[in-house]
Amino acid sequence: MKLISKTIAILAVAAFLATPVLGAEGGNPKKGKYLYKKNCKTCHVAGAEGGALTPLSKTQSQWDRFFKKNKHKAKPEIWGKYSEKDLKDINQFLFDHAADSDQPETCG
Amino acid sequence: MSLINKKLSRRRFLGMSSCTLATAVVGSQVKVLHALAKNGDVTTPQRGKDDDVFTSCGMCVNKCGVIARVRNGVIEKLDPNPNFIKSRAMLCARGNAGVGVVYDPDRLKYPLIRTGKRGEGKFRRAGWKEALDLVAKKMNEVAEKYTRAGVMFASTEGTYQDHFFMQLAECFGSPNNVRHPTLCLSSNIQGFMATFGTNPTPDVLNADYIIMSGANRSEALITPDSIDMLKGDGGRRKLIYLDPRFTKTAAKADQWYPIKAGTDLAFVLAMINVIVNEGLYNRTFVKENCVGFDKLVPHVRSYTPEWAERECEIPAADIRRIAREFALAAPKAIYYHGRRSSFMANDTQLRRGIAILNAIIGNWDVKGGMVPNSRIKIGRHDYLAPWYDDVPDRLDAGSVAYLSENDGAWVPFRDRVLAGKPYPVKGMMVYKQNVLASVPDRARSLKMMDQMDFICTIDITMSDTAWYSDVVLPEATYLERQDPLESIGGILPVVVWRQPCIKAMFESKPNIWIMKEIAKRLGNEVAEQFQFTIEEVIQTQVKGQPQILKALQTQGVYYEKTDPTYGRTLGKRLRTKSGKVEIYSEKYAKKGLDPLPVYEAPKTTPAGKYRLLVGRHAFFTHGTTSNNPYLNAIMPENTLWLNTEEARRRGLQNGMRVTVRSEVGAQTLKLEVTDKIRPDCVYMAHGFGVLSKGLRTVYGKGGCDAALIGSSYDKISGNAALHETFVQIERA
Repeated sequence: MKLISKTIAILAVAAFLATPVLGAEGGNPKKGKYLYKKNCKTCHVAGAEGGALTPLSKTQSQWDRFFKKNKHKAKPEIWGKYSEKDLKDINQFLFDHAADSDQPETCG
Repeated sequence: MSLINKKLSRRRFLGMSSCTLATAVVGSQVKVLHALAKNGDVTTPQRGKDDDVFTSCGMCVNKCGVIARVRNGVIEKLDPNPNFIKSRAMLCARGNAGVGVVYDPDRLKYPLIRTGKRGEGKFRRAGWKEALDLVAKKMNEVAEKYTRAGVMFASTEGTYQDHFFMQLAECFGSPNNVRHPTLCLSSNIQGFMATFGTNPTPDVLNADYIIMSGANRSEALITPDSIDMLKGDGGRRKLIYLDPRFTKTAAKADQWYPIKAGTDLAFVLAMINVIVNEGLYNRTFVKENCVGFDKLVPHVRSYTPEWAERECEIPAADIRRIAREFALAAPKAIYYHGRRSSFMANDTQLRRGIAILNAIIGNWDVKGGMVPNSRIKIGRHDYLAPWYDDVPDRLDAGSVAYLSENDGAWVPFRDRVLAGKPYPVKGMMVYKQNVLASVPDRARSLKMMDQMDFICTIDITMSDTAWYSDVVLPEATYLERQDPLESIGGILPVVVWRQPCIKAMFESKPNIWIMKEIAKRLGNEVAEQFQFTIEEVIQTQVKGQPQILKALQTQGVYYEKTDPTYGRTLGKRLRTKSGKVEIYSEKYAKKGLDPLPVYEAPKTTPAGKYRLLVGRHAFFTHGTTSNNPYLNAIMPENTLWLNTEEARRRGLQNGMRVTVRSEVGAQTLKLEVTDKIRPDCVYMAHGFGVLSKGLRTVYGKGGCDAALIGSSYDKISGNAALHETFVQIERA
């Protein structure tokens, strides 16, 4: 019984995941946040090699341009480390939280 | 210290909110403590040297500077910090009464595990280890059965340790945080962000002309606005106040209009109509900094003052005059946009209207106008939340047009929990948010809690939400904890923190300790992200800026300037899509929302019914302080306000008990017959009618507004709409 309910729950979740919740690039922003923090933040913090960089550092179109055209020109070898899916996820996270994104400010 | 000099006399400030007992309420806590010691409920107080400790208030959202006077290990008194520019060196009655939080006989003393039915109030005392083991076990069970999204995390704000709770949620892997903004200001923030790309602060101190719509600043205190509102610059101040009630702000205003509830947008649109038609707008500002003014002109054509008079019941001639005066006072004129919660389900569009009205007179980022917030940068305590592949998106994803992923939208979130769709949520972790008192339609919130497999609440008192929980964990109060730094944005930004004034009493623990202990039990991946101490967090925050720590230690607050900087954003790109002030919102149009605010008349009050108005009070903070013995002594219970003439017509007398009934619940409380309210509305203060018998001072007193308010909400921001409910009243 427990197995059945678990299966149903997983199916329900899978169905939900399949719904179109993703934006411009079709990436998973939550996964993108994880990948960004795990990988990009090693260099992109104040005082480190890449300097401080946050999603707010660019506008949505600037982030899209970065992923489509720039492709980390400053250090191109980094780009090859990631799968296309990973890059999409990171792009989506940065796009969703860009300076001009729709993510509202909070209160309190 | 120019702004410190802007403080009011203490007498005038306290008089403003009728807090005449403010200084008299402290002083007797030693007796309470001794009484507790006699009963064996408390150990002898820590005997320490006398000390004056700088810290920050935790009684409400304002986080004002406080000096705790500690004598013989007991906090004797709380004084305002004269260096604290944000509160103009003042402390209100609630701030004074903070001592009552620490020495409240009703505070939670040790972990509790429920033994009876939920809500029956039967708990047994447990050790921390047993309670924490149980919490982690239940969290894991729910995650195993329903994915990690099956555990929701409801958090308060302003304890500065709420960040650790949010960290636990993220590291555990649940996307389902629900915070207070959709019970608070999310519509306000949304409306202003859509227009200016940010939510600015009105420069109340320097404005010559202020219009307030229902933001009851003399009672719902916000520093520095509540103080500055009375001060003005050079005595030129004019305050116009619109509210169906004669509040204490109305008493302080130059003109009060008892506007028909829910029609503020009609007033705003008619003001825009006058300003546009008579060419009183700031042509240069509009031309250089705004987009969509050309679409505004035809849009407001039909919104004449004569039309508005029929909607909002304010004479057309007065609307016209106020519009002219407002434009004449520009740019030192503000239509004050907050803070107050959403009253109607179209509240985002009201805020858009207010934003546009401010924009066209060119008061953006100038002295006496709407000023974008500055913030002092401090280091960020960061972590890497583990990634879990099987976790779905937020439960309330897609429920409103603009959802904050960190805050959620309370009402639709609860509806989806009850529906079990798109997936079940069966675990509930609560950090000091009093869900049952705060979220409209308490019966539905109780149903939501009923269907939970597990509920854990961390709090300092037995709130209604704690009362219905399975495990209750006692947190140390704000005067007993070392809290991290908090950078508070504003026209004059400050950095604050909290220091422990006394050792945490009983078995209470700071939230950081509780979070670390739970994390430890949730497995290595989560535990790894909680390998830090509060001292390390603070060191990260002040890295490279030792002056911040020094200032906090020596003057209780850090700031970099005492005079505002205006015009930082002028000529620069704003954080909107166009980079300009968006009078016409292209992004709203793309989402199928009204790109310019369209007036919607409020629903007609059914015959024999009244519109229910609710509000905050200077003595209480939401649902959290009405049990405070000092504050409760000032106002022991709430009443239902009814207009004198209406009461006479109905044969109802002052002081009699009445039952108030809405579509979602009924409450019984005392009637207050008064001229201070329109005949088509009734009013009750928030924070009473509690369910928890663990709140002994306030239990059984007054009625609960959350039990009456229906589940209406703004579909753009998700903000609950608090004035959309109709009630009938009868003798109890």
